[in-house]
This record gives sequence, C-alpha cells and structure tokens, in this order.
Amino acid sequence: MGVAALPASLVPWSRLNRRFMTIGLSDALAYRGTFILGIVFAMIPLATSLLLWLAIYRAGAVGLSIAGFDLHGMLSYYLVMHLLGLVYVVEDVQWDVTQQIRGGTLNSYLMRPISYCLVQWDLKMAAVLVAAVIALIPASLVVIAARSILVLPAAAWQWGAFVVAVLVGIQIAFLLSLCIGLSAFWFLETSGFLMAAFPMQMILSGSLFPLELLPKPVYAVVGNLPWTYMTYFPLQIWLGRLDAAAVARGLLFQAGWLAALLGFSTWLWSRGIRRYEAVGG
Amino acid sequence: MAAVEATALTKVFTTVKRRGGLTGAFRGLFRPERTEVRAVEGASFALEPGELVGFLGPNGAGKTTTLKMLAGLLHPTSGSASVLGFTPWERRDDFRRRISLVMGAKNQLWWDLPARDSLALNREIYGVPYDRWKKTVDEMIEMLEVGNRLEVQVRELSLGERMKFELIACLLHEPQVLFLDEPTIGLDVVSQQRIREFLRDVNARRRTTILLTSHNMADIKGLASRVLLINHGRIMHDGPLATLIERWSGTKRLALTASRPLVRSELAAFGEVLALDGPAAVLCVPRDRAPAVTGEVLAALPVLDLTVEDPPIEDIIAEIFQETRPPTSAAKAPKAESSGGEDHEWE
Repeated sequence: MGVAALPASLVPWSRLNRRFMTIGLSDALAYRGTFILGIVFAMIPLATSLLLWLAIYRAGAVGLSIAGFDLHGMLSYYLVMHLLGLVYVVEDVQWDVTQQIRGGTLNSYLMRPISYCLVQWDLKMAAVLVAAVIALIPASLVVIAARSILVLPAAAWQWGAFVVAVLVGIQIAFLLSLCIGLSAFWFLETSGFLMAAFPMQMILSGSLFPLELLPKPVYAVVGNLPWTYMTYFPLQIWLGRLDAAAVARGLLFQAGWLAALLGFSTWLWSRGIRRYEAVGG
Repeated sequence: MAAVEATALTKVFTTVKRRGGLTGAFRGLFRPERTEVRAVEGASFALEPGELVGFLGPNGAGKTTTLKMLAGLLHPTSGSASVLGFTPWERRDDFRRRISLVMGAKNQLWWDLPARDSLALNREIYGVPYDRWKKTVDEMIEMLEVGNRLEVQVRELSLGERMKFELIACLLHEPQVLFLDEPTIGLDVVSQQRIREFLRDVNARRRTTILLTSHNMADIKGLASRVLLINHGRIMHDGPLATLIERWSGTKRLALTASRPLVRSELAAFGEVLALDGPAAVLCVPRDRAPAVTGEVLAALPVLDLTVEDPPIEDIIAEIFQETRPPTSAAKAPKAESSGGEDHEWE
C-alpha cells in the first residue's frame, strides 16, 4: 500500500493534520502566560546548579576536569540543557492521554475518522513550535550574557547534527511520554506512576546532571537507553564531546530507538484500544 | 435493509469490587473480588432508514452501553450489530463518516477555541466541501438561534448554547445515522423545545435515522413515533408509545366536574381519589372497569363534565421500571402522586 492510499487522517502533512496543528498553536498561545511564568521560575533551579558547580570548580585545582568537563563545559552543559528543556514541551502528552482515556473524551476521537495518536502529535509539535519561538528571548539573553564562557559547536556539521539530533530527540521524548500515557488503558490509577516516572526521566535524560557522573557500569546501561537520546546526546554534539564517527553512530542509535518506540506505541495503542472496547470508557 | 440492526446484543462488564477501609483495600490488592455486570442482555431490534426511535430506561438500564456499541466504541460480549451495513466496532472510516454520536453530558467541542473553529475542524475531519459546509452551518445556526455566538470561546458558552453547537458539529457531515444520548439534559424549556424542533427537522428533511435516549418524556413524546424500553439490560417493549400505554397501564383516569363541591367519601366508592378540589376530582379506576364506573358516576353524581384519560406516561413508565412485571399480569392501580407536568423529568 503506497502513501497515496493512506487516508488523510494518517498523513502528517495533510490539511486535516495541519488544521490540528493550528489548533495546537492557538492552544499553546492561549497558555503563553503560564509558559512564560514557567520560564521565569525554571531559572531558580538553573541558578542553583550553576552556583553549585561554580563553587565546586573554584574549590578545586586550576583547570579541574570532572568527567571530562572543565568549568566552562559544565556551565555550558547546564545552560544549553536548560534551554532545550524549555523547548521539549512534549511530556504533557502523558497527562493528556491518561486524562482522556479515563475521562472518556477519547470517545469523541474514536468515533471520528481521525488517528488519535497523530492528533496528539500535531498538538504537541505545535506547542514545541510556540515554545521554541518564545524561548528565543531567554536563549539570546543567555548567549549574550554568557558569551565569554559558553561553549559553542565549532564546525558547521556539528550545528547540523545538533539540529537533527534535537528534532529526533523531541520525537523520542514524545513517544516515551505517549507510551507512559497509554498505560492508562491497563491501570486505573496512573498518576502515582506518572509522578514517579517524571524524575526518573529527568535523571535518565541528563537534565539533572551529566550522565558521565554516574558509576561506569550504570552509565554503560543508561547511556544506551532511549532517554539518553532525548536531550543528552544532542547536548554532547553541541559541546563537541563526540567526534564525527561517534555522532554518526549516535544518530543511528537515535533512529533505531525512534523506530522501536514507534512500533511499541503502535502496539500499545492497538492492544489498549481492544481492552478499552471491552471495558468501556 | 435496516439502517440499524442489533441481534442478541449482549455486554457483560467485569468490575472489581472495592472494599471499604484499609484492610478491605489491602485484601482487594491480593484477592480482588470480581463481579459481573450484565449491562445489556440479548437486545434485538432494528431501525428502518429515516426512523426516529426513542430509547427509554432508568439509569443503568443499558441505554448508553447499547449506543456505545452501535457507535463502535464498545465491543459486545456476544451478539452482533450492523449499522448501515457495517460492523460498528471495526470502526472503518467509511462507517465513521456516516454516523454521529452526541452525548449530552460530554463535551466534544474544543474548549479553548471559538465554536466556529470546532465547526471548521469537523469540516476538515469529514472532508466536507466548503460551500456545502457553509450552507449547512448557516442553516443550522439560524434554526438554533446561535448565529451571534460563533466567535465565543466554547468555555464561555451557556450549557444550552454548547449543546446546540455540539449538535451542529456532529451533523455538518450529514450523517445517515445519529445516536443521541440525553440531548436536552440540564437545558431550560425553551432550549429543549428548540432542539426538539431542530431534530424533527433533521429527521424529516435529511431522512436521518435517529436513536435517542432521554429521561425527558417531552423529548420522547414530541419526537419518537416508536419507543424501545430497556430495563436491566433487556428490551421490554418495542412499538408505538400508545401501545406501550395500553399494554402496561392497568388503569384509566376519570376527570370530572360536578355542579356542587364534592366530598371524598362519596367518591371513594368508585375508585382511588387522586385529586379533589371543590367540584373537580380525578379518580383512578382499573382499565377494564372504566366504562362501567363511568356509568355509575354519571348516575350517582350531578356531573357537568367527564373525561376518561390514560395516566401520564411518566407514571406508567415509572411503574414499569419499579415492578418489571411481565406484561400479562393483572392490572394494579398505580400509586400516582403527581399528575405529571409536560416537562417532568422522572429521574
């Protein structure tokens, strides 16, 4: 079956799905106030981390390197990780999906000729777009204020690889979150699970600290999990910590995880919906 | 071919019984106590194209479950159904383009957007050509008098306005079959009437087959020529409203006006006195005795005016649901306390 045979609901760039994206844009813009407030308050933990690491490096010898990070590298890690975090606004999908499954709003999607998961994707990608535009302001402020210490990609190919890795990373983050959300088909009460999963994801994606700080055997495992490929991998490219071969290998792994998660979420959806039909919403 | 056909449709839910208290919750963790709920039990019925059928039953009787199965949201435990020739729960796009399900208690419009955007979205979902969409929407907003509310965010609409837009959104692709679950729930009398007129028009002009559940008897009386009565998951009656009254009501009402004030003691001999106000009285008598009692009353009292009526449909149905007796059993006077207003909800 060729692409031409697919119904519009399954083609991401169809008019229908673009319409959903437009709705996602209005939705995201409607809540821009909350978003901006979020940016402001997210500065507090960022500042705490920066000051902490500044103190650690100052207390150590000149030219101290921790897990391969010098002071500028470490500060850049947190700054760029923070900016990425502002744009990766796809994790809400696990809350939305859970709520729609349990509240029965899923029904109004099911009885229309549309694809539920793709609609969620449309909405979240629109939110990412809005977040990226709004985050440009704090991003430029950071770049200007921290230009003396900020590590930037040196070569053009690194910039390119970084952008690709971020785009795929956002998809991985979306799919991971979607899978967690779809678990609501089986579990009556998932909010506790979601609460527990969230900090785990923060750690595994390297949002709290560089993954190399983990004990070697732990890192050997964690470094290959899909969460690593959300934000940590693109960041490694940005900081110039990977050579061309490592970047290529990483992109390949990323693509592999993307495909695996796509398959897994599709499977979860089809199994879950069968259960939903049996139990009701 | 029937537009909607259900054959021995059955749905059994298994639910885990929750025990109260900490120890109860703890025991439930290891040995969950499961109970079976037979929501729909062998329901068989058919709707011809263009028919408007009322679906009646108390809360938990299985109405919504039946509608959900017919709309393809639930898989039945056993039995089969065919809607426009499709098996609903396969949820093919061709099927979904031809039906709609509106639930009065559930919102299907986009909460943060103006109603107009939700209508535009539905146009895209169903691939309705712009001109046709515009024509349908204009027609419907005029009929429902919500033209000036198109640009208002859905969250800011009143319940009645929201329901009206809900209906428009679900009808603009001109479905051949429409399932309506409590379309007038919580609405004022004027809005209810508007919606009824609207549905009557949709059914008459577009030949839309409609299956409608409602607790509001005015909806059923005003719209449905035929009713399906369901209780404890079983279909108990399928036919015109009038035959339902004949079949189930064991009583008639005699409303009389005399030339002088009446007293209760002189009326009690003829039947149960339901109302007495000066010279006007309402008596309840067994259906088969109604002609004889009428003669006796006329002979004994100075009657100016006398009518024989069926009891209010609400009372009959309430009685059926309370007793669920077989239709052949002996007539029994209903314990009627209210005379049943036009828009009386019997929930």
